[in-house]
Amino acid sequence: MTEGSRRYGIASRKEGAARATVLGRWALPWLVILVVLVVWQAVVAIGHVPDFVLPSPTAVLHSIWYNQSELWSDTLTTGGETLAGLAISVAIAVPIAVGFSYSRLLETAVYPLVVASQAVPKLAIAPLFILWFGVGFQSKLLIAMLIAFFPTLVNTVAGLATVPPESVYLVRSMGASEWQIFVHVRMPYALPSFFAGVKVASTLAVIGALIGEFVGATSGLGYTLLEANANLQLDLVFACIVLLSVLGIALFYAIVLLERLVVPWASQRAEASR
Amino acid sequence: MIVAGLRRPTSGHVEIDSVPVTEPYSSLGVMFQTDQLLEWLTVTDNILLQARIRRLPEGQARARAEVLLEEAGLSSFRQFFPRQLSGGMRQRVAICRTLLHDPRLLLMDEPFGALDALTRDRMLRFLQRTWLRRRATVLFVTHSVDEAVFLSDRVIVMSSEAGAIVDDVPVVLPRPRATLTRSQPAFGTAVARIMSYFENDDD
Repeated sequence: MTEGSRRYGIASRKEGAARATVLGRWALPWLVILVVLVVWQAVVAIGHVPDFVLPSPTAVLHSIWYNQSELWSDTLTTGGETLAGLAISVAIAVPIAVGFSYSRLLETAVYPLVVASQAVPKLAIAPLFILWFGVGFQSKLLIAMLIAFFPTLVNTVAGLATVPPESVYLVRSMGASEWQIFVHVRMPYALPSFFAGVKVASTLAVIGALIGEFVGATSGLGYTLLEANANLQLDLVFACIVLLSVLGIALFYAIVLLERLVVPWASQRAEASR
Repeated sequence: MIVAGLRRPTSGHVEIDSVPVTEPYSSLGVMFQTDQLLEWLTVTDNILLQARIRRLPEGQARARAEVLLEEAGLSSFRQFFPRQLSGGMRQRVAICRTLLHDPRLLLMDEPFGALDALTRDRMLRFLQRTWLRRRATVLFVTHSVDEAVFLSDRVIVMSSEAGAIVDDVPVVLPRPRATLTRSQPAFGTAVARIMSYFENDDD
């Protein structure tokens, strides 16, 4: 039994009606998705819509099954680019955010440059990156990183700004070093905002990798999608879209899970206020 | 803030035991207007923060935290998180944290200002009880004349003009002081003397 279901188990005994609510929270979204799929299937079947205009859900499923080995390696490629881009963007954004929080001078000097880097449409510089770094893994990773970097930075900066000065005074009165103040006070205060930023960044990183693959690639979901589109294989196009969505959702919820483990107090607070 | 060594004075200087204050005094306990509990730490961990920052031996600190929690009537809440506690309980946890390392000097800046009158009264008695056992020097800032007289041996009255001391009132009353202490003549005299400085503010 997971921690969550045990908690819900207790809640349902306490509140009686809670079990129905929990059922609703999990079952309802799936039910809605199912209804949409059934309607879609019905429209395609009854209206005799040809496959090259709109393939039915079962056709898309069939395409995923039929092309599974190719699609699996494409998903790994795109997923790898996304994950690596996201990881590097976090590794760069966090130290800069911490630097900003300690040095107003650094923030004044560097922040406009960071904003400018965001004002440039990534689609416009993607061809440059392909030219410089090749059609392989590296160029996609860099585009994903460039897109994902900003929300993590902005949110971490915002999180570090919410640290109450009294809390810092408190540990300082205990004789804390700057490092101790950071570990015991500043970082825990900033973590919820940091995770909010990474969640946004994770969906953007997928888009970054995809842009890179659209502009120039030899593999990946974006590459296969473009090729299938050119051949009017719409079932394969939809198969790629489905896998891209699954990739994005999986990454998002992986981060949510990590957040629950690292900052349980933030998610508990959110649940309590519901 | 200045006495705690957290801010530098614009003029003058502070000495503790004839040593000028340039950084937080080594045996210092500070309490602020709000409890400043860290919401991701349990009651016990919030108290032990004092020991962890000061790098005191963990086992000893833990045993001492237990004693303090017992005194504060919070033993059964040791694994609770701050947001599960009432305002008075949170403030008692803050007192335990302040006292963990047995500081020789306590600085308290209106620590009970946000509490209701009854809870506040209980906190005053709790503070006195723990103080009677340890006898640290306490510098207690308050806007409540009652609180000042009830707790203090010496009340220093300051005017609204920044930093101006207008009187130094000794309070000679036996301890432990209780609710009945308030009906003693000496209590009334001290309160009246202090209040007289604020009457003139009306005109």
